[in-house]
Amino acid sequence: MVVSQTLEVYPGAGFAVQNITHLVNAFVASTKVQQGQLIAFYKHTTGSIIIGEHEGGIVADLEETLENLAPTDGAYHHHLREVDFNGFAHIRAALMPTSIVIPIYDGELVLGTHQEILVVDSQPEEIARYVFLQVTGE
Amino acid sequence: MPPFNTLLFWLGGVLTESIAELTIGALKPGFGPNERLQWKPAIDPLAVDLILGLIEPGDYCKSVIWACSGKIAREELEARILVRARVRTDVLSVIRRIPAGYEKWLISDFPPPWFAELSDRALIAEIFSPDRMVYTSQLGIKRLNPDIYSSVPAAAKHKMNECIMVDGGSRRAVEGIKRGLVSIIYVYPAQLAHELALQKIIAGEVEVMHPSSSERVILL
Repeated sequence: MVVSQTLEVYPGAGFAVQNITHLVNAFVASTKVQQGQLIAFYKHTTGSIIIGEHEGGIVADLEETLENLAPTDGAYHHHLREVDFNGFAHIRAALMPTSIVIPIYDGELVLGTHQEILVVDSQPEEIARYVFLQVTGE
Repeated sequence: MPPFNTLLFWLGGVLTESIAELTIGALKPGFGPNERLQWKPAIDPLAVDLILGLIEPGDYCKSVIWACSGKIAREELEARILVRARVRTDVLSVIRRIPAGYEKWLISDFPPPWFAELSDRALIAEIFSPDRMVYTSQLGIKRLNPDIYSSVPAAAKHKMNECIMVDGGSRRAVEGIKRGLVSIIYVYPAQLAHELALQKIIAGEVEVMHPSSSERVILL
């Protein structure tokens, strides 16, 4: 059995971390799949999907680390074409995954206590973002 | 003595939807992505002015209607916002588990006249006594960041390092941490309970490993 759904999320303008664990949990529960796996795929190039602890201090540290690696006000070749000016967001996104796989056991995601499903995006404007979810199992 | 003895809960965003979310829903029940993207940038700064007490509730509604080209009267928008502002009882259930030794304060970003009109006010009063409420509109500050992070603990007569703020605004919570105020980002009740358990404020309900994640083989 394969069941799919697309989540529409709004992480916010600029660097943002959105916790979507409860939404993914609800989808998995709705599929009634007991044994299988979930794939979550982030369909954008300015952000990523990760498993991490959604603690404010970690979010602040992640933001500062990414800012050091790819500064918001840095010079990027991507800006040469003058279509958009989000080179930093693309570089940050390239450093993190765009998909995750989580086992489903007895109808639940096998997440550890501190593990949350997080969308991390740095797009300067707030726009809709899509996460494709697919459960495979029985 | 625990390192933190005082918990500060935002009303909007934790106990209820945020003022901006309530306003969008009041303007158009069942709003979609277009309304959200179109209106939120206009409503957010107005909501901040309301939270800070820089504008009155009536002027807030009037400005929102003008900014969003709304077709309803100011009084109607205000009434709709208050009707939509229902307290999340599952969040209250988590807060009730906090032992009496901790001071629990409510940060009301709703102005006093709005708070007085909340239909679920009695539910809130069961947990937060009137002398443990801080109205952001009465703090006398002109900006949220960074003033809110020091002024709320001060209003509660505590040092910043004695307090944990529970905030539904992820960005605001992270900024608070950068300013030295420990903050929990509220997303959903189970996660709030988990965060409070991590601080050993309430008893934890979950095991570190997934409780039913298959047979375990222990390598000694």
